[in-house]
Amino acid sequence: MRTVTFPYSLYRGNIGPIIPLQARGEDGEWKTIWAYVDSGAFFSIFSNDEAALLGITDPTKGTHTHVVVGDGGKIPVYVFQVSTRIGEVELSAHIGFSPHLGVGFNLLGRQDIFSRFRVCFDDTAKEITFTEK
Amino acid sequence: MNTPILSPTQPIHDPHDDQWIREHMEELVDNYAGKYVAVANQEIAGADARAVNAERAAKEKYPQIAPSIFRVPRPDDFVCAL
Repeated sequence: MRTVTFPYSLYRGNIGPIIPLQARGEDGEWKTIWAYVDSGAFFSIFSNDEAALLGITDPTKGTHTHVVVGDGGKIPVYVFQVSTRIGEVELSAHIGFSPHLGVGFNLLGRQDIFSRFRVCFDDTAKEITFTEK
Repeated sequence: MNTPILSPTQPIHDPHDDQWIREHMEELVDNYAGKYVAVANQEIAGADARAVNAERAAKEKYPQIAPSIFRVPRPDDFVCAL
């Protein structure tokens, strides 16, 4: 049972579970990118810039869906199956890309991630732990 | 410092670059908010509004290192409701 722990990111007293993970691009190369672990989100949503980094030249070719965001509005999201690594654990995860991701980080949601890992947010220790199930 | 084992076929990622990002978060947010930085060899090896450009610059400087590519949040992003 593999476990990996990431320290929270810290900015002027504000903490956040922003972690590095690896995603494999269309060219087979693993890229290290960062995302905010968001247990309140079903979908993982990355920006279109990350899509380009992974060699996805036309994000709209993904499975189209709409996702409700904080103000009740909806943003278009295009979902791909992406080989992903968190720590040493590799999995295939549904990752959505959107040109309308307004928050300043990628979001790592529950789909495929929280079913593979037990995820513990420890705000006292300022760390997040992924334990493979 | 552990030296990453370099592969002749594919660049290698060094977790120390991730740690560098955490340790320099305030500097990054204060100076690069809304941009991408590509960190390799524990320094900012590329910085651009586009991730691919930041990565390209880092790979030109350190071709055998797979950079850690960080979308730098804005200060307000740290106080958000998600």
